[in-house]
Amino acid sequence: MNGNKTTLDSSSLKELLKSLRTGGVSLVENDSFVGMEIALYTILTYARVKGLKVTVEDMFDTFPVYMKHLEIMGLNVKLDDVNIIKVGGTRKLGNTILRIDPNEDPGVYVRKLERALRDGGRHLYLNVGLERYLAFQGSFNSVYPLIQAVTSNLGANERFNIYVVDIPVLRDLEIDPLPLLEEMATSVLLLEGGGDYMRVKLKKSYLTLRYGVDEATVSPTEVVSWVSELGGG
Amino acid sequence: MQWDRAADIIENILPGETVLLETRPSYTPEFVLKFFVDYSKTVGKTLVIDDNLDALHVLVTHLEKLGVEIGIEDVPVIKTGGRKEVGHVMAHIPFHPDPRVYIKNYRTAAEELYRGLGGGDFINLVLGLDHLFLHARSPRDSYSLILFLQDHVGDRRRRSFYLTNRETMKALPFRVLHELERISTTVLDLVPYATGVNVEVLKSPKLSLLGTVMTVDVGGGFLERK
Repeated sequence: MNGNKTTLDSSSLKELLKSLRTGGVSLVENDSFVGMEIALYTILTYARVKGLKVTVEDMFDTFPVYMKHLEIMGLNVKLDDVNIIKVGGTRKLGNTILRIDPNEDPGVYVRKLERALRDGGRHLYLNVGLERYLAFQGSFNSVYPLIQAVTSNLGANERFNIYVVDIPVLRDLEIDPLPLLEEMATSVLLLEGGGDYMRVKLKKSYLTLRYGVDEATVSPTEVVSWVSELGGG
Repeated sequence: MQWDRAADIIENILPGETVLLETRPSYTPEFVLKFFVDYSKTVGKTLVIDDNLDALHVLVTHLEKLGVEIGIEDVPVIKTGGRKEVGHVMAHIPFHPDPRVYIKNYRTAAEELYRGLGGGDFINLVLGLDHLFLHARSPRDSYSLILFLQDHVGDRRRRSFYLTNRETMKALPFRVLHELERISTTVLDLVPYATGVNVEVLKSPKLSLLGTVMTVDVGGGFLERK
């Protein structure tokens, strides 16, 4: 496959965000040091600007630690109207609408989750920290229903579904469910590289088909300034 | 030793930060300890050392053998497990294989110690973290520790520096190095060369610092007795 590389600018970032489809599942894979912070800052700011309600499923306090990082970076994200589904963990942030015990039978877990998301109308569902849940469970059987739940999000036509996963943590696990997740996802985007430039790889994307571009480099500093402008500072 | 170069790196760390210092087998941990003891005295900030399972004893003994003096007697130390008391041990937390028990004991003791020291803006150097993780019996044990460390991120009373040997971390039964990197606000890779260390900024809340490399030469000056 011949990929084409480009440099990401603020209009192509907007186009990337606009390419999200309701009823699809987007997978954001992070293999860089600040990629996740920047991705979450971008997604949450974009949703607020678009007036899109957000529900975060936070596994074992993964979301709060990223929010703490953004705070230390001096980047503000308003979380007052963000709904949170807590799976394990103790840190309160936003508006907790459901708590799920991580020891709960995965089948029951998935039903509770689906019920909580069902009547949300047009909104954005963001899953953060799936890799921690997988580490806790430690067996494929108990995790399988949850992975199947990803599929059940497909076709929920009023909802944007985004899963953000940290690849290095996932790789340390005995079970690497990444190929399965990638298979199920409608679009897959990988953030990688260190230093002052980050690579955005479009593993599966409408934009790749349309423009024949599957990799872009971008400076984290630049993305942050575009997004801050988007969000009104 | 180029203390100024090292000080420049540390001055960039904000209050509340959790900093991961990744080392490789070398004298880097000894340099780092010596630096923090000297630096905290120079800038007049309180250094609190977390000594897990006698890690401090090992470093101080090596420094003695190298002929380097380190004025550690007055440095407050929170000691977890181990038997060798080095520095001014102000809290002694018995090691417990169940991290939940250990964490509960630690919280109580550390809070009391920090209150006793008054005011904020401490420099906290954590040694022997890898040994705590070596005792984890399951991924759940490891994650109890990770969530405990994560809870301190953003606690503006202190800047915490976790000194870890990345090779030990990679050899753990349950690998947690990447979780540590993820929860840290700053990650510095300390790569040794014959007479010093190259410090690469892998992660920082100051995005402009990403990818920068600073050389701290230790050289013969380190060995001269003062």
